[in-house]
Amino acid sequence: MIVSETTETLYSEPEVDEHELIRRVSAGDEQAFAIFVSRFSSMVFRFLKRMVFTEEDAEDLTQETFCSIYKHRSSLNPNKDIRPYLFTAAKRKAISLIRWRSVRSMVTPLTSIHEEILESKQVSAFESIRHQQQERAVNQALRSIHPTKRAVLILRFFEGLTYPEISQIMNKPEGTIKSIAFRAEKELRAKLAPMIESW
Amino acid sequence: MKTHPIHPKQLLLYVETTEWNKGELSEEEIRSIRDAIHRDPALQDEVNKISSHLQWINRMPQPAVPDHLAQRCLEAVHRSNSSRLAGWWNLHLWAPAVTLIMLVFTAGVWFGSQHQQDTLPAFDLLLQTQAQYISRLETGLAQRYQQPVLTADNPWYAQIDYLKQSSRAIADASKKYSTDPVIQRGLSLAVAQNISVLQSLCEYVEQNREIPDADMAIIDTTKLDLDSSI
Repeated sequence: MIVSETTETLYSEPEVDEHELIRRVSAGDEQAFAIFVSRFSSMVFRFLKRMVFTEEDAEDLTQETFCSIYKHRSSLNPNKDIRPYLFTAAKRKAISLIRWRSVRSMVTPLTSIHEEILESKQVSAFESIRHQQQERAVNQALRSIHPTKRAVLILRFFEGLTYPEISQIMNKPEGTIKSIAFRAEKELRAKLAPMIESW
Repeated sequence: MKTHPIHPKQLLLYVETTEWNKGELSEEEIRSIRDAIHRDPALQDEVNKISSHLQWINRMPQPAVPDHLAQRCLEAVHRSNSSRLAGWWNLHLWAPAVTLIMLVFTAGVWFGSQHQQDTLPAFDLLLQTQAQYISRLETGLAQRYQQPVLTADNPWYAQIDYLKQSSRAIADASKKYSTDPVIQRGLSLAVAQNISVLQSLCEYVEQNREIPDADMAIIDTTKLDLDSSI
C-alpha cells in the first residue's frame, strides 16, 4: 500500500487517462489508487460537506467512501464513468449518518444551534465573511430539506451531474429525479429568497 | 382563459437547457415552452426566478477542502486494510474467541432448557406457591408436636387436610372455567390472598413453638364451598 510522506509524490505521475486509471485501480495497482484518491477525494468531500454540513463528518465519510471503494476495487468498470459510482457510495454513507443523527437526537437532543456552533468552528479563517454567511445560509436551508431531495439538489445544481447519472446514483427513474429536482429547487429558492435578494 | 399545457417542472428544464446548455429539451419543446411563457406573465416571472436562483447557486464558492485530504484518505484505507488482514490471519486470536462464543452459546441453550422446565402459567405458579406454603405449615405444625409428619391424631390434621382439598378444588375450578376471565381473575385473587395468610402463619408457627390453639380458630376452612360461590 503506497502512502507517501509528502503529497508531492502523489502528483508526480503524469496525467493519466481516467479510463486507464480505473483499469489499473481495478487490477490492484496501488499507485494508481493513490492517484485516483488524489483526483477524486475533493469532489467527494464537497458533496459530503453539503450533505452532512460538518467538516469533520464530511472527512470521515470521505475516508470511509474510499475504504469501501478500495475493498471492492476489482469490480470497478473502466468503461463507465466513475463519478456516479463515487457519488453512490458517498450518498449511502451520508444517508446512514443522517439516519444515525436522527436516532441520536432522540436520546441526546442536538439542537440546530449546537450544530451551527460545531459547523462554524470548521470554517477556515481565510474565508471571507460573506462566503461564511452564504455557506451558512445555504447549509441551514439544505438542512431543512429531506435528505433525498438534498442529494438530488446537490448532485444536479452544485455538482452538475446529468439527470441520467443522478437517476443511476439514486436508483430512481429519470422522470422521478426531474420531479424531485424541480421541487427541491423550488423549496431551496423559497428558503433562500430573502438572502438572494439582499446579495 | 389562460391555458398552458406545460408541466411546471418543464420551466426548470427550459432554463437549464437555454441558459446552461444542459440539452435536456428538444427544439420543439423549447419553442412550445417559450410560446407559453410569452403568453403568461406568471410563467415568465417563475422562469426569471429560477434563472436568478441557478445563477446565484453557480456563483456560490465551493466548500473548502481540508489540506492533505487525499493523504489522510489513503492512510485510512491502509489502516482499514491492515486490520482486516491482521484479523484474518491471526488464527491464535480469533479461534479461541470463536470457541469461547460457542461455549457461552451452548451454556446458554442448556441453561435455558433447564429453566424452561420451570416456566409455568402464572395461575399454576400461584397454586404451586400455595401448595408449598401449605406443606411448610404442615411441617411446622407437625414439628410443634415432635412429629416428622402430620398424622391423623394431630389436632391440626383436619384443617391442613381441608386446605389441601380446597387447593385441589381451586385448581379443578380453574380448569373447568378456564375460558372465563372473570372467574380466573377471582380465583387468582383468592389464591394470592391465601398465600399471604399462609406465609404469615408459617412464619408465626416457625418462630413460636407455643401456639395457643384458640389463635388458629379464625381459620375455618370447613365451610368452603367453591362451586356454590362461583
